[in-house]
Amino acid sequence: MNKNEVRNISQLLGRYGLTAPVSAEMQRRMADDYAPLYRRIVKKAPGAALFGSVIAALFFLVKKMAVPVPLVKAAAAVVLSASVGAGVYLAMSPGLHAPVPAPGAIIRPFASSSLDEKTAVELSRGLARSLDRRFGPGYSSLATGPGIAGAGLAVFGTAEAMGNGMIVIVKVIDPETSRLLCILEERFTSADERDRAFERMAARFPSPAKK
Amino acid sequence: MLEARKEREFRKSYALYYPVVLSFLVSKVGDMEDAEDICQEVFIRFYNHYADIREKKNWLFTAARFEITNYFNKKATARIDTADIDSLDNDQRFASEDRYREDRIIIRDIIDDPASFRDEKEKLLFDLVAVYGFSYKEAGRYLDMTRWQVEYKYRSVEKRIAALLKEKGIKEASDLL
Repeated sequence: MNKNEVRNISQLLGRYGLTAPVSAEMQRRMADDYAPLYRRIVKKAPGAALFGSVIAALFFLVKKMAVPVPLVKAAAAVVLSASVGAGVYLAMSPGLHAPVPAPGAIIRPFASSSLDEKTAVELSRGLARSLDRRFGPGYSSLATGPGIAGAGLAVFGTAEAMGNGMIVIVKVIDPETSRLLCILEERFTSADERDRAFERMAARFPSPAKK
Repeated sequence: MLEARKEREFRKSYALYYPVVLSFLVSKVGDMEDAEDICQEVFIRFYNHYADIREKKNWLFTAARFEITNYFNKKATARIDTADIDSLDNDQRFASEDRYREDRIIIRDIIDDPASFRDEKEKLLFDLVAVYGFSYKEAGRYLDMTRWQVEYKYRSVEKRIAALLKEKGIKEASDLL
């Protein structure tokens, strides 16, 4: 008990033998056994099936941390209302919509006459990963069907086996004007070299803003 | 669904009454493990009859007294009655002093009277802090209140009880006010 907590009534009750103080150690033990005892009761009670075992676990976890449950509920309510409120506000304010992400690059799977399709697609993905690392996650995507609608940049490439390595040639085109923006070429003989080659390509890649 | 609802309501009751029931049992039995075993039995019975129980706290304490009687009857050769449970430790000390005994009855009536408290939660708070000596923080853990809320509420209950005691002629109560 805190030394500053004066319990006058408690002292009065004590004088008349009407108190039964529980020691601090026992109070701690009670707090520790709070949830386990509940589980034992519900397990032993016929008909009970621990339906809300997850909820019960959370409930007693919160209790164990001595955080008042209404406080947790209030915090959850504040977070929920803030999210809903922000959503409604944004929806009703024409100039305040979330910024639309700039269109990125759409990469057509590389064509190849010497490599199998799977390897060519994997190489296209390698370039996409390097572009995402440079310009941000989701910047590039691999075209899964025909067309390049909505893309900021269109990327066409070929990949061929060459000696004990490979060569990748990439053309970057502005879909709006059909203008060829650049042609990039890299050669490599190992996986490490391949990754570095794609990083170099990404570094020389024109961003849609600059095109 | 009904079982799930029953379990949810039972969990709330358990959360509220666990500390007072277990404290009561510890104070009578003296051993934490035995008290927990009895507490478990009491709450299992409480769960099984949950839908039919109106006065939950009274039911729990009646069941607790009954289980304590069984406990002592199993342990000792001499039998005791449920009515003796409340006088296990204290009554003898004051038996020879009439004035003390009378005052004690008055005080007990006041702190046992639900009308002395605004609601059941306030009564539980009073029992935990004043009777069982829980810290404000520990009491708050079970009552879903912060330490400061407990202290504030306890202070107001304390004043009210002191005023009631004074009204009934308990001399020391004047000092509390």
